[in-house]
Amino acid sequence: MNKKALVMLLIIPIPMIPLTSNGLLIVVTFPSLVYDVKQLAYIDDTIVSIVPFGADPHEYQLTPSDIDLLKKADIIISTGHTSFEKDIRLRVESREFNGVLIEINSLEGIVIKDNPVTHQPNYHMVIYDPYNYMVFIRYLGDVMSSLRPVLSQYYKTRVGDVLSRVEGIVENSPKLNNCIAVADTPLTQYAVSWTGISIQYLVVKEHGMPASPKDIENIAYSLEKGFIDIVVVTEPISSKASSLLVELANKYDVPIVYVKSPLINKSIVDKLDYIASQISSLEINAPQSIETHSVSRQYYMYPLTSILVFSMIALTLYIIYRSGR
Amino acid sequence: MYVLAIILCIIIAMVSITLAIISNPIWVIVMLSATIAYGFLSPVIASRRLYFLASASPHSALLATITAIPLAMSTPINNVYFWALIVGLILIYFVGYLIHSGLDPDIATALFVSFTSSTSVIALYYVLTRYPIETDLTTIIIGDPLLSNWSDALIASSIALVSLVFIIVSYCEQVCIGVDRVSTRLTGIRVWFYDLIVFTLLALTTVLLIRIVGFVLEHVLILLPASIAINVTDSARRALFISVLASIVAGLTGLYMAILFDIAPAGATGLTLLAMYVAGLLLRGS
Repeated sequence: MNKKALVMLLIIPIPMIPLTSNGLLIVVTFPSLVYDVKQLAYIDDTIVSIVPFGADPHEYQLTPSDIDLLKKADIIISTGHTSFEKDIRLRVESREFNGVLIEINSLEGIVIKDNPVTHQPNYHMVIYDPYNYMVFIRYLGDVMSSLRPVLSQYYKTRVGDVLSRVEGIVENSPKLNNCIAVADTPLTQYAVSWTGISIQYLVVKEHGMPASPKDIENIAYSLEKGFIDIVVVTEPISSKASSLLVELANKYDVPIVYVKSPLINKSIVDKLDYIASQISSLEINAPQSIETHSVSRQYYMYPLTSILVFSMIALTLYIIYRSGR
Repeated sequence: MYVLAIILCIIIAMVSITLAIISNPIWVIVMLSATIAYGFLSPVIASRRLYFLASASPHSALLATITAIPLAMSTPINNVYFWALIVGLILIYFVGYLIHSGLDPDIATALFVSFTSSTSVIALYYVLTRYPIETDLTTIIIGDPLLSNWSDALIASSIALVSLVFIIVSYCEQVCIGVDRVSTRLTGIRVWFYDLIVFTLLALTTVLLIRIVGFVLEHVLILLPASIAINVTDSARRALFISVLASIVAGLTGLYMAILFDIAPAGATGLTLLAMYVAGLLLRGS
């Protein structure tokens, strides 16, 4: 049986899972977390994702079968920032769920970065940062060991394996300090900031927000003038923001770093490895100083445009007025 | 009046060119196309008294866009636009058939809205939680014309052209059907054919433009241009002219305001159109 098939068996809905062994039942909110937890799990531990693979967890609501599943969970792993995850926290606090709740974003040692454009905390996939990821893996290993002391040594060994792999990726990857980047969405920030890449521009500033004219103009202008060294795009390319960036990067010959979407079925370690392999082969010119540049608009056109727009409105209103006569 | 209209057309062309220079030509093409398409469609909707259906059609466009995602992923025709159009046409034709058969348009639309709104909620949740997201559904609702590419611009301008041609060719008959459907039928005009044109254009403009202008702006652009026109004139021909004019001017002004104040153009356009409506009311009062 191949690896993928084995994982699929582990994530089938709870009624079909034989819960007869002494293994831990670990329920994760984001489907990709299955692959991260699986790295530590013993063969009879069961890992189940509430949100189905490929679906957007931001829009998810708990179903009755999810509630039943969560009641049986030994460990509940949540990022703690979507609405259904907040619902889970309330139910744990009211003791409706008795499992140990691990809210990744609230763990001691997890560093929440500020969104470079909105300057608000960026809660999107904080464990894409390898240092945050190591904090999470250590904590998870401790919780699993405490709940199943018999396998404590096993879990610690697996934690050590994962940590040494992450440390290896970080150490062996070249550092691109002061490289300025533009990204399509804020979730890429944690995925590349550990390499020294500084995301200074975002097409979509926050999940579900429309792009603003100034941002798009600034990005296009900065790419054209060479103020941006790298373009960071979420893979697979499915949004208009990602397509726009790829188009602009190709037009102005700026290298692209692809970041696997958190919804892709791989562990964070594999995703970091993928980023590191791209970083190693990048050829970047001398980095700019870290500062954003605003578009040098054709300001001389603005008085003319304002006059024309004003005339257009005035004449339209006059025609409307005359039509009524 | 004709001289003024010609001068205004020249100014509109100049505003379009300057906006394309200071911002992005794709944004100008997309906004112009959307406003032309809805500017022409709006007075037909008004004359046929299909306001309720027109305001409900973005709901069907939303349902069509959502259901197109699983259809595109599970069939050999992996094109979301294609499936959205098919579903959108089926939905609109269904309500069109009910109206054509003699059911009161408001009652037919009420049934239609109940069905599309309820199924949209179910489909939205089902697709968001069961399918890999190929598109951000929030941007479909809010609208993000600034992220349009040349292919979107081509689609939008094609729809504008289709809307312009079909409305100009059939406008007289559409108004006659709206004024007195029975008498128009007695004159030998094939009413069903003109019904088909209206419902097809409604489906085309709402389904294919929802990804560009968004669910919210569609409501405004379908309803307000004709309302502005009807406020100030009794002439059907003038109403068409004012509707198109108001729609285009609002679109370009909205885009310019968006560039100037760094705000979403969909919202700025909606507000401009609303301001024009209020100004029209005040001018009428004076």
